This record gives sequence, structure tokens and C-alpha cells, in this order.
Amino acid sequence: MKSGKLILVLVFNVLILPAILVLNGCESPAESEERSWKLVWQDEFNGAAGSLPDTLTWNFDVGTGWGNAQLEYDTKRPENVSLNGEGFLEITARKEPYLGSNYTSGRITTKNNVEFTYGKIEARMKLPWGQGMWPAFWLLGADVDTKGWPACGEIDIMENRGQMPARVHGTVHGPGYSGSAGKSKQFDLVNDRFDTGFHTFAVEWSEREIKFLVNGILYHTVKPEDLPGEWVFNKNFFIILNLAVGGNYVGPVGTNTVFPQSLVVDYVRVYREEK
Amino acid sequence: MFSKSYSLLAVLIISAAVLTWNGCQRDADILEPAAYPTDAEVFTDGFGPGVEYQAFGDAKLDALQIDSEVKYAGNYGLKISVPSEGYAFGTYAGGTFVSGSGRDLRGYNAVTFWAKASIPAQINVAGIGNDNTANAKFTAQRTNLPINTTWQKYIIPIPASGKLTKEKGLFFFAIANVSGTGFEVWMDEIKYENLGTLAHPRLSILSRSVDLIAGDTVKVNDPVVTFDNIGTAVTVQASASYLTLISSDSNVAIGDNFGTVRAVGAGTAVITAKLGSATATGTITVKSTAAAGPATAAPTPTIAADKVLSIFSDSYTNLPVDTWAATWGTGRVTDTSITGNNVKIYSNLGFAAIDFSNHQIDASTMTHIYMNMWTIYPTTSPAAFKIKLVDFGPDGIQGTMDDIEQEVSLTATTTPAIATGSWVTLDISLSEFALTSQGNLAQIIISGDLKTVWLDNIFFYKGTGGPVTVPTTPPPAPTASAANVVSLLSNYYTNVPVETWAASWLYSTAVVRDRVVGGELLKLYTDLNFAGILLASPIDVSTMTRFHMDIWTPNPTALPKSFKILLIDFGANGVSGGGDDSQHELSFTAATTPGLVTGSWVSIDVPLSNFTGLTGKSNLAQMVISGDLKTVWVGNVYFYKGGGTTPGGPTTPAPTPTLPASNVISLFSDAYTNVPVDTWSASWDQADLTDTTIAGNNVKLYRNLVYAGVECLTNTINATSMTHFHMDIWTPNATSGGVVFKIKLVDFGANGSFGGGDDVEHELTFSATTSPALTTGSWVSFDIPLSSFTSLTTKAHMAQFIISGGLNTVWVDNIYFHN
Repeated sequence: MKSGKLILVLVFNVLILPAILVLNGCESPAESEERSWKLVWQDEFNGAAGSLPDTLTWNFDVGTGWGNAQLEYDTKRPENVSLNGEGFLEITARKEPYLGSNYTSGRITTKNNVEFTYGKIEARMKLPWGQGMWPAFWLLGADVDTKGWPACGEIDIMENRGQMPARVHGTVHGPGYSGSAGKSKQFDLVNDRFDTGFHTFAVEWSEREIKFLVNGILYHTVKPEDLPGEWVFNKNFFIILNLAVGGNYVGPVGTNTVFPQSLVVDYVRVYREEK
Repeated sequence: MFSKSYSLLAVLIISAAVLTWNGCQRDADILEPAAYPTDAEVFTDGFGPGVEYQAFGDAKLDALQIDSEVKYAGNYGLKISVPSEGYAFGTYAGGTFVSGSGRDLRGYNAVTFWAKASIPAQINVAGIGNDNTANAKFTAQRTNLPINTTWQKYIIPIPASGKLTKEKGLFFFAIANVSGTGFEVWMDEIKYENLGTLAHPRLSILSRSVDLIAGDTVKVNDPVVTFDNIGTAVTVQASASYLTLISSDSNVAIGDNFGTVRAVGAGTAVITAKLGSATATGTITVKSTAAAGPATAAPTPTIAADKVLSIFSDSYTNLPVDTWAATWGTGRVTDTSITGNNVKIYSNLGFAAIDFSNHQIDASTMTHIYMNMWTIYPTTSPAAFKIKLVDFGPDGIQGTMDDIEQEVSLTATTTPAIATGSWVTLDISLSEFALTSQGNLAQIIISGDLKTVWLDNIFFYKGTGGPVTVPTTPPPAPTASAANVVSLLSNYYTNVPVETWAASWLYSTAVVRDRVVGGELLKLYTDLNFAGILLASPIDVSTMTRFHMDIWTPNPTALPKSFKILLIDFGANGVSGGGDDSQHELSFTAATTPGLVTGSWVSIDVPLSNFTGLTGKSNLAQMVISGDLKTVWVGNVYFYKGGGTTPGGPTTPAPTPTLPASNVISLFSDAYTNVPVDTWSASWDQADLTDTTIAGNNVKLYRNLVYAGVECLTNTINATSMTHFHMDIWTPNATSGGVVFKIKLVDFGANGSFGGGDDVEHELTFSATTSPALTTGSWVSFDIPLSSFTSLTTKAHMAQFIISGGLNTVWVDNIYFHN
């Protein structure tokens, strides 16, 4: 089920969608309390190999820099963003001269197409690795064009530094807590790494709380009272998937970093909470 | 590793845990490949299962001690004393932790350990795959690892663990003094792990282009492999044996499993190296020139034509052949000639079958097979050229029970030997093949490592020596109770694991093959000068009183020919050396008891106390057979003690029947001529049948008996003139408590065939309280009036006879009707 040009509005329960009840597993004592989640939107990235992801859902942010000194030029070419024919989306970073940049990659968003407030937003992904790889799965406030950043708010469900393949960060940014002052925590895998297999990354977002989970394990909770600035998360957000190369967060590209490499995404799913 | 005449460099063994075969229940099928243990522990709170430490030859021998004071975890760690400069007994500390049996390490990707030192220093080398022999194939090591005074964990990645199916070298290290000063290092928790943090090996091989002539080889350099351990590079120097070599054209060049590339044909091929799924940067380009064939024809054979049955030779008249390369083989055959002499070139071996099924050769009076062979391929051992002979048996029909095929494998170290670039004459005694039938030879199958061979002068001939003789009956069944036996080789007992039946010792020429005769598994030794039989781990025979081995030889046994058996016990330390080993050799000749005999089974069954020099019997580890007999068949090798509550089998034959033959129709008895019987164990029955002997008397042994069917369907028996049915049985099983044994006779009635409404049968049941009564451990003679089989109203077409009941094991003899 994939809905193009669907704007998920603030109150989920006006939507009539096939309900798939998904219960949280109970793998860890650190897990969030049991809730019932109803799947309301998903992209499973099924489609022909080499094709672009559904352009009714996904916008391509074409360009470079993005305010982070990222080195890659993000394109709308299948060489950088395409389905692999086996049910996965691959955002592929390449080392190639392109419009003045030395690298290409991709950055796609659901802006204006799939926007929502609250719920559980989850992706299952395998990350690239190596110094300078910066994959991210994140949400940005839908009013970014009018309010600007960081006032629009940003929820980084997963950010990873390729040089630290067993560690990811979950962060919220907003007015008074942006950039390196973002409210952030790290999650470390034990005897495993994010670039050798698939893992799930999610937030459970409600009116007064955002919880960050990896593989269903809760590791970071942000509440309004935790923030030094305004809580700007009671409005629509959209999804961004991208693979940056270099930039402020990761530093320069390492000599051993392998190109091309992909951020491989099995699915992105949005659930609403069943009351 | 241990041999009779050769010992390693100075080896200090400080611990040797006896190997235990964890959960590996061995059944009677000793051909089943041994499972190698998968234990992870090298040293955790003591040495891991089967692990021993061997100091390197020039290292401080006593550098390693178990330490209860300083340890990382548990109660014990290892303390390593690195000697100062000038120390007289070793210039560094170093050694290797060896698994005697080898381990299956495919489930792990690293060995890890914790270590610290008394001063900041470095571990010069730490690695895996060094088993302290020259045969180590899969070494991988890290060098110059910094070590300081706090515990740190060290990781040595296995470059490609899929290769380590039976690795003996578990962990090794070497540490030298710092600026001349010795110090202490502590290590603990040395074990194999499967680390999820290790990934993305990257490696390179030296790119180069080499010009080779087909047959030449080039070695791939040992790669440096760098893994990523969650962001940290971990580099190991790996043996090239870890690489998988992939050729772009296997008709031009091929890679082996040990890092060697071999040119095999003309052309250009690119060799790529992979480590698991990772591909090395760098390739080897082989530009290969085809090797010329032989410049001269094969030597002309000199065997007189009247002694030869030839299939291919310009020197003889040749017998017809159906095909020179059967389509089911991989080999291709090309006819050519050298200075007018016809030659066959076999390429793309694989294997190729020379098939003359429609023109079978009666080679029953022949003694040798002969062929000339030329190859450009390397013949360095273990490269082999194999010749298999297939005989369709007396019935001449393929696929029937009497078919026999046996293979001889020739290498550079066998006689005859194979060689590269010159004609070799492969003149092989047919006794090497030990075919039980050679009157209906139908195929010769060549195979092995030589991809292309040139062949000429392929024939059989009658040379010196009589026709081949092989045992046609198995050795006598053992009689000792299983509870009183420690067996190495016998279908009657559970056998302890034997590492090898012919250790690859210097100067040992013995070749051992598995052979089955009469359902019994035997070892056939050829070219025997001496052969080491090495147990997988030492066994305790201290409570045993006798040693047993059955042997059969076709060789002359007249004095002074001898056959010798040496038993070696490793003493309390359980390993070779250390001053507590003991051994003794017994020599047998035609004049000893037992005496050697040619062409008959000889049961060597002697008190263990005869091995007077064998003062230890708790860690028996090796046996060496030797002497003048070049060819020896060996069966039933075991130690046993007398007594016990359950007898093993009869020691004397059943009473010999005394009735005149004219009063008897015998199915099975050495005392009479027997009528033909289709089967002694019908396909539908549930019993395991062995034909065996007791003191030279033939008996049928049924084991795992639920019911066994004896059938005379082809020639039914007319027993109308007979009054009794007779059978002798012997069982080791309990016969009290209602255990029964049943005998059923079936007659097919007037129509002489199964069904038709006229079949009749009757079954009688016997127990400890009937007459005759079942007894345990002695022969019971059933001599039953046929009138007791009351339902058996006709007797003119007796066709089946079925035994069943509660006796699991029954020896049977003297089965006949009489009047």
C-alpha cells in the first residue's frame, strides 16, 4: 500500500486505511511500554531494479552543501537513488567528478507528499561504512520554508558516522538547541555493527514525548521539560533519507573508504497509536 | 607428529588434556568421517580440551606457567617469563598451543585473549595456524602488538575461517626482551569467538604478469589482510593458503588451495584472489605456452606376446575396446603418433573410462597391468595418477552383486612412481588391486591430478608369481564380550577413533586401503615395511589381558619371514616423550605360536603380558606393524579381557553331524554337500548376516535379528522322504524369562510357487523350558520331527525357512533335513 500525494493530517483516525496491528516485541527491559500501533503508511520499495523510488512520494533534493559542508552532489539519477529490484532502496555514494563536486549521492524527502504529526516512524536499513560516510534517516518540520531552521524542528531518527560502524545517534534540534547543542544520545551495538546487516531505527512520537529506538530497544527519550528552548513538535513533519559524504559531522573522507557504497533501505513505515 | 624413529625439536609439554569426543557417538560404520571438535577454549581457566603447549625449539622451554596469583578471570591465568639477553636456555619466550586432533573452527572468526606485562613492551608475534610442524598451512599473525601493565583484549582475526576444518595450531606467540631486559607477560582467556564487530577484510596481492610453460607454477604472495573492528583497522599477515584463487580460464591456468597457480594449457588467464567474499586488489596474469608432448615414443615393451593380453600397443595384437573415453567421464581422447608409434592423449581429466564391457577380458591368469604414461603436469606428491580396474564378476553383468572395482593411486613416491616430462612405465602387480574377480574385466578408469596424460602400451601380462590371491572369507568372528573389549578395528565392537592406519612417517612405504570381505571391514596393507597406527587419543587398556589381531598374507611365510607388532604407551603424561613412555615388540614367524601361514587367516591372540616392555598400559597411543610381509590384510584389532557375564560368541564349532550323507538334504553344513540356497537373508527380512568361521568351520551369524528369511525359491527342496529338520544355534543372549526362538518352515505346495492357495507353513516356538531348551553360551541342537510342524501338510516344495524371536544374536550351523 503506497499513497502518493497523500497528506497525512494531524488526526490520524480520520483516515480509513487497512489496519495492520503491530505489537512491540518484548526483547529488552529498556523497551518502551507496550502500545498498539496501526500501520498507516509505508513504502516497501518494491519495484524494478534501477528504477527511481515512487516520485509521487519522494522528492529529490538536488544540490550540494546543505549547510553542513557536505562534499557530495545529490542527484536525481538512478546511479545515486534507485530500487534494486529485490525490495530495497539504495542510496549510493560515488566518487566521481560531478558539477564541481568530487562525489555524488542522493537525498530524498516526502515533503508535501507524506506529512504527519505523531506516531511511530520506523525504517529498516543497512548502513555503509568508512570514514566520511554519513547516512541519515530524519524528520523535518513541514513549515521549514516559512519558519526556517531550526525553528521548524528536526528529529534525527538515525545518524551514523561511517568510521564508527557500531554507533548511531538520535537527536532533536529546535530553537535554542540546534547543531551541536541538539538533544542527542548514542546507541552502541554489542558484538555487532550496523554495516553488516539490517537493523530497525524508529521514533515513537507523541504530544509530549519523543522516544528513540534501535531494534525495538529504547535508548533516548526527549520531553518538553528536557529542552532549553521551545517544543516545536506538535505539527506536521516529513521524512528525509540521505547519504552524505564528508561534512561537519563526520570530517574528511578516509583513504580506505570504499566507493561506491549504499545506504540500503528495506522499508519506511509510519504507524499511529491505537488508543 | 610422533614417530617411532623421529622426534620433534625440543618440545616441552606442560599440559595435555586427553581429548574427549564430545557427544560424538560412534556407530559401527567406521568409514564415517570423524567430526572434529568445535571447542572454543585454548586457555581459559586451564587448557582447553585436547590442548597442549609446545615451546618453540629455540625459545625458553619453561617460559610458560599456570599462575593462580595474576589472572584476568577465573582462578588461573598464564604467566610468561621472557628471558633477559644472554639467558643460556632460550633467547625469547614463544610457543604454540596445539590441538592433538585438530578442531573445526569454521564457526569462529577470531581468536582473542587478554594480556598485560610487568613493563611496557610488545608482543612480537601472536597468531593462529602454527601447529609446530612443517605442514602448517593456515598461519595468520599480528606483529608488534603494544602491551602495557593493564589488561587489554587482543583480537587476531581468522582471514577466512571456512578453511579451518581441522586446524591443530590454535594459538602461538613470541615475545623477546626489551633492550636486553626480561620481563613477565600474563595472558588469559585465550579463546575462539565469533565477533560481530569484525567486518570488511581488504587485501591485496602483488599484481604481475608471468610467462609460463604449461605445467609450471607460480606462488601467490602471502597477503596482508586488514579487517575493520568497529572503526579500528586490525591487520594480519595471512598465509596465501587462505586465498581462493579464481581463474578466468581454467584451461590455461588454475589455482590450488594453497596459493599456487599452475599453467595448464596455452593462452592467457587472469587469476583473481578472494578471501571469503572479499576480492583482493591485484591480479596475476598468466601467459602460458603449451608444453610440447613427448619427443620420443614410449619404450617398446619386452614381454613375450604369448604372455600378453593387450588393448593398445604397436607391439602386440590388440583386443577390441568399445570406447576409449566413455561419455560419462570428463576426459577427452585424441589419437596421435610419435615417429610412427600410435599414442593416445587424454585431456581434461577428471577421469576417463576405457570401456570394453562388450569384449570383457579374462585376466584370471594374468599377474600385471602395464602402461606407459607421459605428462607435463607436476607430479610432486601428493599429485596422483589413478588406475581403477572394474570387473563385472563371474556373471559378466554390470550392476550385479559380484561386480568388483579397485583402484591404485600412483604418486612420485610410490612404486612405480609417476614423473613429469618423461615416459614412465607403470608396471603394476594385479595384487595391488586385490580384485576378488579378474575373469571379466570390463573397464579401466584413469583419473587423478594430471589433467593431460599421454598413454601407450596398455596391456595385461602373466609375469612371475602366481595369480593374485586374496582372502575370500572374513577372519573368524571375535568371541569376547563387547563389555570386555577395547577395539580399534572390528565390525563386532564399537571402535575407538584411529587417527591413521599408516602414519606418513619418513621411510614408511606402507599403503593402506579399506577393503570389505564377507561383510567385514579390513585394512589391506601393501608395500609394508612398517606402518604406524596412531590412535586419535591414548586409550586405557590397563584392565585388558589380551591383544588380538587377525592377519592374512599372500606372501611366503617360511622362516625367517616375520611379522612384528609394536605397542607404544605414552605413559602418565599422555604424550610422547617425557621419560615415561614404554613399548614392546613381538615378532611372529612360521615357528611361533600363533605361526604365520600363507593364504589363511592367522589369529594373533596373545596375552598382553607378553609385551613385557610395555610397562604402562593406561595411555596406549600407537601401534607399529612391520616385518617381511609386503601385503597384509588386517582385521579384528582389539584388546580384551576374559570373564564377564555375557559371552561374545562360540569358541568351538557346533558338533559335527554324523549321519551318512545319503540320509541328508543339507542347506548349510561343512559336513555335507549343500543344495543351492537363493539367499540366507531375504531382502524383506530384518537381520544382519555375516558369513564367518569358528575354528575353520563355516557358520552363519545373524545379528540384530528380528526375523531372517532363508529362501530356496529357484530350487525348492523335496523333503517328502525326510523325517526331521536339524539346526544348531548358539546365542550370547539371555534365554530365561520367556525369551523365545521361532523356526518356521514354508512349503509352496503342489504348484511349486508362492501363492495359488496351496502354500502351507508351520512355526514352532522354543524357550528355556521347551525341548530342546534354549541356553545361553552353548550350542543347542534342534532336531525336530517334521511331524511336529503339524500344519506343514506338504513337503515336496520346501521354499522358505524363517527364524525369529527374542534372540538378537544367533550363530547358526548344520541346517539340514534327514531321515
